[in-house]
Amino acid sequence: MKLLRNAFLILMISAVFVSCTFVKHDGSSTSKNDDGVSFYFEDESFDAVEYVHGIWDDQVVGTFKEEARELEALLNGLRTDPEKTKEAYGIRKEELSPYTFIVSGRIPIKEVNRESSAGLLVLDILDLSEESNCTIQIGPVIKKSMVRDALEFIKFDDFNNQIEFANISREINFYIRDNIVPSVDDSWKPGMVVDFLGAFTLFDGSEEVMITPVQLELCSGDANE
Amino acid sequence: MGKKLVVFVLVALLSFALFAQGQKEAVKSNLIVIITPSHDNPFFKTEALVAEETAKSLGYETLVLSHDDDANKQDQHFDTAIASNAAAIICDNAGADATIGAVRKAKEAGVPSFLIDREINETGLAVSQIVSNNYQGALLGGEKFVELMGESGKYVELVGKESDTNAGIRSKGYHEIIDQYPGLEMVARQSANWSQTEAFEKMESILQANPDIKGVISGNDTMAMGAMAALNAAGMGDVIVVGFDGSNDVRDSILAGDIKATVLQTAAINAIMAVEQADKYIKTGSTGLPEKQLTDCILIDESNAAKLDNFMLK
Repeated sequence: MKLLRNAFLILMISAVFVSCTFVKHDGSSTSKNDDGVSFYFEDESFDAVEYVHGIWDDQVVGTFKEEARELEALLNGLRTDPEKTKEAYGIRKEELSPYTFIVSGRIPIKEVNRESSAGLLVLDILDLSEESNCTIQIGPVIKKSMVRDALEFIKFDDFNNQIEFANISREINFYIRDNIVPSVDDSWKPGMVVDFLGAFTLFDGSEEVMITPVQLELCSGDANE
Repeated sequence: MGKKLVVFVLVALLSFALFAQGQKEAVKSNLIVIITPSHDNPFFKTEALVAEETAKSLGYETLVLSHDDDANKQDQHFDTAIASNAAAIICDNAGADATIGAVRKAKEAGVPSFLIDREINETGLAVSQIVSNNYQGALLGGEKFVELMGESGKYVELVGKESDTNAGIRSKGYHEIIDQYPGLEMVARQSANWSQTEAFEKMESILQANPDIKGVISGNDTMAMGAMAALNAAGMGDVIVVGFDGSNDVRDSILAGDIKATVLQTAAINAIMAVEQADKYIKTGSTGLPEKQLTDCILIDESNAAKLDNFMLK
C-alpha cells in the first residue's frame, strides 16, 4: 500500500513537471497597445530619442565632417569609375545593400520645391542620370534611412531587433526635421549658395542623388560673386 | 519514503545526463532540417523549396517540415531534428519569443540553427538570423502609398500576426511615413493575421462603415489579395491597395491593374544565404559573418512587376 502511494506521488510530481512549460519572463516582450492592435517587442528600455540626441554632435556630425567627400568630385568619380569609387568611398553594412556616401559642398540653389510634404532643395548640379538635378531633402517629411546607414558604428547586430534599429533612423529623421531643415525659410531663393553636409544612398538601378542633410545653411553672398 | 524518492530522482537525473552526453558525442548526420510556416502562403513555399534545392545541391539530405505558426508543433520539429542529429536547422520561426527555447535546446544538443525571414528576440543562440529589411521595405511601401494617394484621403490598414516582429515593424515603417501627411486619415486598423480569408471578411465589414475609403495598406500580400477581392466584390476596384512580399499572385494583380504596388522581400536569396552559411559553418565552425543580417527589399509596381517571378527579379 505504501509502495503504491509512493509510486502515485512520484507519478503526480512527474506529471506536474511534464505538464508545465517554463516561460522565462525577462520583460523584453511586453505587448503594447497601439491603436487597438497590440504588438510584441516594444521594448521600453531602449530610448531611441535619447540615443540619437546623445550621439548627434560628436558621433553623427563629427563623423560626417571627417568622412565627407566633396559632392562634385565624388559624382565625377562615380561617372568615370563607378566600381572603384563605390569601393573607396561608399559605405554599406550588408553585402548586398546599396552604397551610401557622405558628402559636403557649396552649390547654388536652382529651386526650392515644396509641392510635396517631402520638400526638396533642387541644386544647380546634375545627378548621375545627367537629366535631373541633385536634391537635398528639406522636409518636413524626411525619407529613407540614409544618415543611419552612413554611420558604420550603428550596426544591426548590436540591437535586439529590427524595431530598435528602425527607431534609430526614425529619430534621426525627426531630429533633422526639427533641428536642421527648419532653417530653410522664404528667404532661400534660387541663385543663393547652400553650404551642406549630408549623405545619399545610391539605390540599385537608380541614378538619383537625393541628399539627407545633417548641416544646412546659406553662404553669405550669392553665386554671382 | 523520502529516501526512495531521492534515489528515484538521482537515478532519473543520472540517466538523463548520460542520455544527453550520448547525444552530444554522436556523429553528425548529413541532414538539414528545413522548418517554415504553412506552404499555403507561396512566400514560405518558395523559401522552403529554394532552401531544399540549395541544400541538395551542396550534397545534403533534407527534411522539410511546416509548423503552421504553432509554436508547439515547431517545438516537436526541433525535437525531431535533434533526435535525428541534424547537421543544421533552417527555420522561418513561429514566434519571436516562443522560438527562443527551441533554438536554445537545439544549440545545447549541438544542432546549429539558421533563421530566415523572422528574427527571434534574443541573440547568441542562432548562428545566423537573415531577415529582410522590413523597415526599409515598409518605408518604400509607405512612400509609394502616399504618392498613389496624392498625399490625402481616408485609408485602412491591415496588420499581420501580432506575435511576429515583422507585423510590428512593417506597420511602424508605414506609419513613420504616412503619419507625417496631415491629409491622410486612417479610418480603420485591424489585424487579419496574414490571412487572405480573414482579410476578405474584415475588409467587407470595414467597408460597411467606411464606404468612402481611398486606399488600403496591407502588412503582406495575402491580406492585400483578400482586401482587393472584397473591394472588387463591393464594386470598389479603384481603391488603392498596396501589399508586402512580392508574390506572383500580387504581381499578376498589379499587371491586371488591381493592386497598385508591393514590396519584394528577397525570400529566395535569404534561403540560399542561410543554407550556404550553414554549409560553411558545418565545414569550418564559423560563417565569418555577424549573426544578424539584413537584406534590402525592392519596390514592385507596374514598371517592374513583369520581371518578378517566385520572389526574384529577373
